[in-house]
Amino acid sequence: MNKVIITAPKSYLARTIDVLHDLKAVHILDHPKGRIDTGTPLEHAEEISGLLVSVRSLIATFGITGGTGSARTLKSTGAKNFRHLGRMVKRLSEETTERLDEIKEIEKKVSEIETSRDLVSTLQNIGLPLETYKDYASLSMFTGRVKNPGLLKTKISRKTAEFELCHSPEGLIALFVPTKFRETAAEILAGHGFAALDVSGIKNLKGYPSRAFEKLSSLHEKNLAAKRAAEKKLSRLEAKSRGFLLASESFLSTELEKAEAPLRFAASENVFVVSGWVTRKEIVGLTGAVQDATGGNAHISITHPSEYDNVPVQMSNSGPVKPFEFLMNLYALPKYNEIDPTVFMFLTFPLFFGIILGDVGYGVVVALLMFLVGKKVPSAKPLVGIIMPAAIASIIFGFIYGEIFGFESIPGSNGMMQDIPRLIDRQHHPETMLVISIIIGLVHVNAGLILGFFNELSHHGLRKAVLAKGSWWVIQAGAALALAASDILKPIFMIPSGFLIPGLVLATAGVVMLVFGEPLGVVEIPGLASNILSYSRLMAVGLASVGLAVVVNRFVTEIAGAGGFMIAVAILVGVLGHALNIALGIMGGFLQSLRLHYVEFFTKFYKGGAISFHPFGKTQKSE
Amino acid sequence: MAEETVALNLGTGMIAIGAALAIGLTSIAAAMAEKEIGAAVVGAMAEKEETFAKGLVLTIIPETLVIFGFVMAFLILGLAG
Repeated sequence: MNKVIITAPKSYLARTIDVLHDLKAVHILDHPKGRIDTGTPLEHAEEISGLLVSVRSLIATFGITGGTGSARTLKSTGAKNFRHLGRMVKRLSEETTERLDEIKEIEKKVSEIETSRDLVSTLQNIGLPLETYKDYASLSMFTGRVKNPGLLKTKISRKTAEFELCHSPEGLIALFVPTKFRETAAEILAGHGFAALDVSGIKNLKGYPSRAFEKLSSLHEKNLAAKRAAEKKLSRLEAKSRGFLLASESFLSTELEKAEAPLRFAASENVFVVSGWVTRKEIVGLTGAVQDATGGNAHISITHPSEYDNVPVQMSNSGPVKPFEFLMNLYALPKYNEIDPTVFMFLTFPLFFGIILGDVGYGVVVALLMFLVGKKVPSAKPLVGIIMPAAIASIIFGFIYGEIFGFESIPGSNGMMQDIPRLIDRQHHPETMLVISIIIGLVHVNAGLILGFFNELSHHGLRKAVLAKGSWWVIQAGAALALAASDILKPIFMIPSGFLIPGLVLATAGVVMLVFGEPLGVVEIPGLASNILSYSRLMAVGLASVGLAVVVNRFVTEIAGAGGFMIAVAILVGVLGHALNIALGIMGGFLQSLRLHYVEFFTKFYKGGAISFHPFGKTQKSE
Repeated sequence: MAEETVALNLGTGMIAIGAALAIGLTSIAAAMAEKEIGAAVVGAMAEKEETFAKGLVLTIIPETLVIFGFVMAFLILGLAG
């Protein structure tokens, strides 16, 4: 990676941007606004961004999702020139608005009709013609519901005989009284829990409710048909303009990126300066292309990164290691000149996963599952690339443990149950697994320290490497010697007690080295032991998963023993139980294994924290 | 004779209780720690959805407590022979 600074006259700005965009080789560093100002956007920037907003709003209106056009040229949109594209977008936008308004208008009408129709169907119970429901010169009308129409009638008749009350059995009433009597009637009604019914929705209707209901229904149908037709027109418009919109979107966003690029440059009145990073192999191409575009008027300076630069990085793993970069992205990208641990992840991640979820049956199921996911969901490719090797490791460890879906024996050729041959019996001798796990921990953590040693060696020299990382080995050796000679372990290792003191002295010497190498590292000394013991999860999580499998199998055998219908139940329980256990197993195996790398392994050597190399012109999607 | 059996059973029972405590108490400890982390992670996810993966890893960090508890329980059970 090299630092590049391009300085050129402003008259070549647009052409230089085009060239840089096409090359896709320069990671531009945003110019911080300081004494020297940033550039101003190219002249069309505002227009482009306006158009882009219209296009994106159309895409949102139509609900278009999925693949954006890969061609980012004006030609791919079908427009003759930029102005023509603007007109096309405007026309489409107007047409869409028209269609949407039309639909909205019809929807409004439909909802009005529905309200009137409901009202008419309610009033049907009273039986009066619809034109009756209005205010008269000398009469006032009340429509609504009361609790007890009969009682109401008696109450009113006590006050006056001048009234007309029609009602349905459910308590719907239409009451007509002389206007002068209006207030009194309202009072009496209020006493009967009167709830008024708004009849303004039928003021244009005449005749008996049943006829009006039919008329409204047919009108309703007609409007719904009109709505369907309008929607069809809209979806035809969508189908027709889909390609155009996607192509315009990708063309315009590319153009906008170019037009706004000067905001990332430093600029004076006549000159602009682009600074950024370029990979070594692109230098020649870049220099040539920029000088071509500027007629040899550009000044290009290329320098090596200094110690203080935060150099953008691009990981360069290939083949089956590539998917594991995903796990590095989750954590932090390796710094420039730092060891990229992806390849170590590739070696040990599946191994740990396999040790935890070691079962032939489960491994095969996970592998099949990943195969299917890889086919159906292309975006999950990296995940599939990580879990597939892990599933294969599961199958291999399944053979080592001799386990198939938690079963330890299978029916042999003579019909008798036969034990599956195994190297390690983790179900009945978990202590073996515990010892193996701790040994793996020792090896893995020390592998991390070795990597840390080399990192220090290349950055700070041998002295620092020995003091900061080598000291850990001295501490471990001393502690191991003292432990082996102690009363507890003496019977196993046969080391005389005389070695206890030298062991302690050695460990102390290691601590002193560490103080000189990395003073803060001292607080991590107890952590080293817990780091190594943490690998016992390889046994523990695995045993938990086997335990669950065995329980499921026991259930199945017991239920199936009842015979008949219960055999079907047993199959269901078995499938569900093992599915649950596999889901837990994938998650547990994945996360626990990941954690052993992030927490126990990486802390021994890895710093990370670089930014990702993202060359100008390369979109996130095409990566 | 009868007394001896009772004493042996009591001893074994104590060992079993010790193992259960080792697993149970560490599980509670891990749960308490994960509760806090989980709440914080959900909060972070509400702001920035990409933090999900990192949060998931952070959430399982205290699980080491249970693992240690499991190993201890296992060693304690070994005492019962």
